[in-house]
Order: sequence, then C-alpha cells, then structure tokens
Amino acid sequence: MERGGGGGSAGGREYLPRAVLFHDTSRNVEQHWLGIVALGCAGIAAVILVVYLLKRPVLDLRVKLWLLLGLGVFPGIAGASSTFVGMEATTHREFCGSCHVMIPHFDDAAALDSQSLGARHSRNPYFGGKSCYVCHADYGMYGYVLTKAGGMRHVYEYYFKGYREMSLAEAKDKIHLQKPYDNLNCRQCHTSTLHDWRRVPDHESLKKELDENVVSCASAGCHGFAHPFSKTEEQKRKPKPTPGGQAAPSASAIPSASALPSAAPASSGPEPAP
Amino acid sequence: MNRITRTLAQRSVTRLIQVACVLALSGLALLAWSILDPSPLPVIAAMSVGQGLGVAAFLCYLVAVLVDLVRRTPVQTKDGLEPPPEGPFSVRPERDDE
Repeated sequence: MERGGGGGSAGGREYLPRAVLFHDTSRNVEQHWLGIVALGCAGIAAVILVVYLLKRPVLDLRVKLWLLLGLGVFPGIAGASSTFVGMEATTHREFCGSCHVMIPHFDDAAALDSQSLGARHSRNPYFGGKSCYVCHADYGMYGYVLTKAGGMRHVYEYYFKGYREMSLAEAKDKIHLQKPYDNLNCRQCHTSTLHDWRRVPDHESLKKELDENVVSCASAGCHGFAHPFSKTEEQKRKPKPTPGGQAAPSASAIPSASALPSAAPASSGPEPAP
Repeated sequence: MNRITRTLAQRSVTRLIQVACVLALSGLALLAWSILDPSPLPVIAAMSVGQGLGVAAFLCYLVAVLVDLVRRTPVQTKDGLEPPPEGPFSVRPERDDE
C-alpha cells in the first residue's frame, strides 16, 4: 500500500497514517452487500407480515414461528445491517453537504481549483470522499460515539433551532464551531513525532502552542484556513499571536509550510458546524 | 403484578399480533427508505423511530405469545390437571377475537 502524505518511517518500519484505513475497498463492497442484505431481510419480513395480516391464520405453533421470523429474526438482521450501512453513510461528504448551510463547504471541497485545506484534503484519493468526517471526527476511545452524538445535535439544531430556515448569508455569520478546532485532529494523520514534521522549524518553535491549541494548524499564518470563504477579511489578515507576544509568521513568510502536500485541515475561527 | 397480568390477559392476542405487524411494517419501511436514500432525515428516522417501532413490534409479539401461553396453561388441582378457570384466562385459544 502506498504511503500517505503524513506517513514516514520509524526505525526502518513503514508507517501508515490513519487516513489510509478509510480507503478500504473491501469495506465499501461489504457496505454495498450489507445494504442488499438489509433490503432483502426487510422484504422477506414484510411478505410474512402482510400474508399474516391478509390471511389471519389460527395462532398455532407454526404461525408463531413464522411470526418470530417476520417480527424478530429478519427485522433484527435488517436493523443491524441497515444501522451499519446508515452509520457508514453518515461519514460521506455528500451526507454532510446535504444540508443547505453546508453547501459552500461542500462546493469548495469539491472544487478542483480550490487551494483551501478542505479542498486539498478532499482530493486525497484515500479519504477524499469522507474528508468532512476524517477531519472533524473526534478520535480516541469514545471518539466515534461522541462524533455521532455531535452529529445528532447538528440535526436537532437544523430542524428545530432554525438552521433550516436560515439563509446562507445568515448561516455564515451565525453558525460557528462549538469549540475551537483541535490540532490533535490534524495530528492523527500528520504525526508530530516523525522527522517529516519536525524538520519544519516553525513546528519545532511552536510545538508548545500547537500542543495547547493556542496556535491552530489552519490559521492564516500557518497552513491557511480550511474553509476560507467563511472568514472575514479581518480574520484572514490577522496573524496568530504567539504567547510570547510575537505574531506568528504569515503564510507568505513560510511558503514551504503552506506548499507541503501534507498540510493539515484545521480552523480555529468561526466555521459553520460540520 | 397481578393486575398487569390480568390486564394483559384480557387483551386480544390476535389484536396484539396485528399491532405488532403494523408497527414492524412501518419500521421496515423507514429502514428501507434510509438505505435507498441515505440523507440525514431518513437515516436518523430509521435509526431512531424505525428501530423503536421494530422493538415495540417485537415486544408486542412477545407479550402476545406470553398471554397466549398463560391462557393455555392448565390448572393443577388435587385431582390432576384441569382446564383454566372461568374469567379472563378462559378465552378460547384459537381466534380469540371472534
């Protein structure tokens, strides 16, 4: 398997970044078949139930067993496989882009001429189709559950808190990330322990600030914004201050950093919720 | 507990099964919708309402089977086993809604 942008070698071992795991063809095929299994089981269960409702046979043991299949076994299989397929569907970029307040993000990510971090990551063949999820998901032991819970909050706010009626112009001003983007999400792929990362002088000098999220990987002075259209001109111009009182170098001052193919997706400023 | 048992026993088994079938069919429809159109509303509806309907349907089925078993259970007397006594448990086992 080809090594990804953030990978490297440690002690002679090839290092595969986490992002490569998302490009697993066998898993996509599995998902496709699970969808067919779910529909098939749902169809069989529906036939059993409709036949029962139409014929209304005497409730003997044979009928009870048929009903066990129609109400328990087949719906159970269908429910389990559809849950897997549904959860997998929620990681796709098209799913995130299906809410109208996400259209600018979706369009920018899909634009071939866009140089934003979001777009550049979305062109990655390994995980581009799931770039929203890969960059915005929480990681760690409960990361998947927390991410899905956060997604439920988005749905709640979309349907019950007025996001649905909001125009795009309003959404840009009013919808923000709930908390600053964590650099740790970038570093799930762009590991900060290997030579590729450490050879950049700005990484070394800002290591503490990056660890503490004082400086965002996706800031104007570093790798640039992930979704630049949602920033005000002032935010775009404003360099990130460092704790020492000095402003971080601007993007133009470190062209090598922004030109790195392994630029990190992040944004610490206001962004529409993913 | 006894009151709950009596209440359940008075319910029509066939009616419970019919309710279960309708609930399950509704849940399965939501499930199929979410697979054919994996957008936020269908997916979340299937995973919440759909699965809730499915669980409710299966519980209705279990209750119906339980009630049916209770009704069919013979009573142990000193002379041996006898049919269930008169009352809510004495409903005919077959086609009890007729």
